Amino acid sequence: MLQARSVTIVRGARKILDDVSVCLRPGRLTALIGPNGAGKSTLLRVMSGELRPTSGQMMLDGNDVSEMSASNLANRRAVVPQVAQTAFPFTVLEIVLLGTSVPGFNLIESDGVQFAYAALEEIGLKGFETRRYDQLSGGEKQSVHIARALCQLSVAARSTEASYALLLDEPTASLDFAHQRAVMRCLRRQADLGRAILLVAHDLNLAAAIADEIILLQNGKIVAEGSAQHVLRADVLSRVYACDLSVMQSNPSSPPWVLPMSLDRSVSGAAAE
Amino acid sequence: MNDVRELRTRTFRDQQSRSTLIGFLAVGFTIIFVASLAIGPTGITFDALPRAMSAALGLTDDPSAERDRLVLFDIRLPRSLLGAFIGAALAIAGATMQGLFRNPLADPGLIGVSSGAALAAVATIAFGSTYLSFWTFIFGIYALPIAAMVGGLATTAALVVVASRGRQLETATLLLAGIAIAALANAATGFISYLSDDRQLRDLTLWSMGSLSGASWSKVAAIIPLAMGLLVTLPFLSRPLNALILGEAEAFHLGIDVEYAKRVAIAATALSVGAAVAVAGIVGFIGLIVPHLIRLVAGPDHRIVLPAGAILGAALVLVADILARMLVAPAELPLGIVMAAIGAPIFMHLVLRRGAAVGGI
Repeated sequence: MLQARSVTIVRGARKILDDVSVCLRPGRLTALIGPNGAGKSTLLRVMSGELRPTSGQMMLDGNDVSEMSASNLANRRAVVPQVAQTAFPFTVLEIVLLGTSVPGFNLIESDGVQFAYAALEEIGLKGFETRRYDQLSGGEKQSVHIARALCQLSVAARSTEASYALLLDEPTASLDFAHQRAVMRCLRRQADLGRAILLVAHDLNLAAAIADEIILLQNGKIVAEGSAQHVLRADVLSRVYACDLSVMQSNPSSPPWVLPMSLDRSVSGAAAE
Repeated sequence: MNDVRELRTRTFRDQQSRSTLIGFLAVGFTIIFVASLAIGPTGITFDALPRAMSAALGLTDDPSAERDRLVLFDIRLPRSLLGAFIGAALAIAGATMQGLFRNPLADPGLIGVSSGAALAAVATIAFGSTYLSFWTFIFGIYALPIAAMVGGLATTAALVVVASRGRQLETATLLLAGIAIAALANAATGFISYLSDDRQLRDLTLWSMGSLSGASWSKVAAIIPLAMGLLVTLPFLSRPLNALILGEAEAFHLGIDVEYAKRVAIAATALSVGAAVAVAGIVGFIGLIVPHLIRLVAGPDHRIVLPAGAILGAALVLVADILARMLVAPAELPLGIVMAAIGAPIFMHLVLRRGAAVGGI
């Protein structure tokens, strides 16, 4: 559905992305992992149409994304960025309602409010409608953005039969366990609805638990892609993350579990002395 | 759900109560507008209206009726219309700039219009009879307003060219380049003032404090197309500005053509501020304070801040103008002084009550 074909991004003399090809399919959840600076967020920005590739192409159902208008794109995909700030006292409901204001949606406001309430309930923010967005915690703000994106997709999907993409940049970075789990359940449900989902993730175990497919990036190149069992291997991860990692698996059907080896008390203890 | 509904109604945050607020403001504005026609240092009030009407229609030869007509229709009416336009234009420009720069302290001066207009005005006042005599020769008594308008627009245009990289207009660059260009224009303005004689200096100072005393029907006629243009642009600005509150990338994700929206916002601001400065000199505070007042009662949604701000801005300028011409009658205070004297305490009160200068209002 949403497809990157040999995408390369060059900034100065540096290749941020180097010949990357990714294909998102309806109903599948793809996790993008890799160390800091690997190009994960840049790839997400290319996939969203925000950044034009230096060479290569972004295609959405056979159309070149760089030739599509902002509103046409917004009718087909939603993006959850890392937390955004605003200096104005918008309420949570008003932020989520932005998801209904895409040009071409032509939704009357009361219908939009219904969609917004449903999205807030889905992400577990029922009752937050009139809270001020700028006074929420970082994790709550993230959830508001997810709700906004869900709202945008459900409004887009109300009239046309098409597939929709949801792109998220570390949506669980500042969430506690319970809320992480709520978000993951919600993403799984979205995938089951037929959405193509791309999730930039720092937490390898979370990625392993939820993703249908994992893509491992390093220095702008794809190092490995495929199922969690295939990508999350101790030798590959230790090399890419430049740190001793071990991978465990309790039984063949459960997702693998990644554990850093040298992270014990003696490290911090030595530093303290 | 019920208490949500209640809260939204109480704070004018749904469509119906937004219309109510607009209605309130419109009624208030009408009352103030009528008052601005009836109040003036000549002592002519609304009693004179029927006689003035008949004089206007040529039904009477009574010289006192002719005088009433002159005061009501040729002096006060254009003055009130101009005042209303300026207030509305500056309030819209202020809200637009605050939305575009995502900063509640932004004001229309940020994109260089006012400083460019001031430079052109100062040059016309100081050199109008010497180096720039061709300009005064061509435009006559409108040399100053036209120069101000042209200077303001040219400065903004230069700024947009400087801040554009290829197709993209970077907001941060725009802000910094705007400060630099304003400083440059202010330096030139200062230099010209330094060369000016005492009478020119007094003209300069009064111009920079704003006044509606030069109002005339021809100025109103010149402003009407702009006012109409702004009204048409408004609905197209509010959604992009709403989407922009979370940043340009977010606005793009929500389907907004960000570069186009930015250019429309800047053009609308430059035109409205340029026109306001041209007809009334520099009137501060409206652009900063009015959007805040509206956000306080109705929330920050630009679909309400822009139209309600326009009406409130118009009403506030009319109130300030009534005071400006009555307080020291038969003389007149500069509008800018009255505006700042009213605006600053209100603004201070808001800031202190809310306890947050930047985020809270």
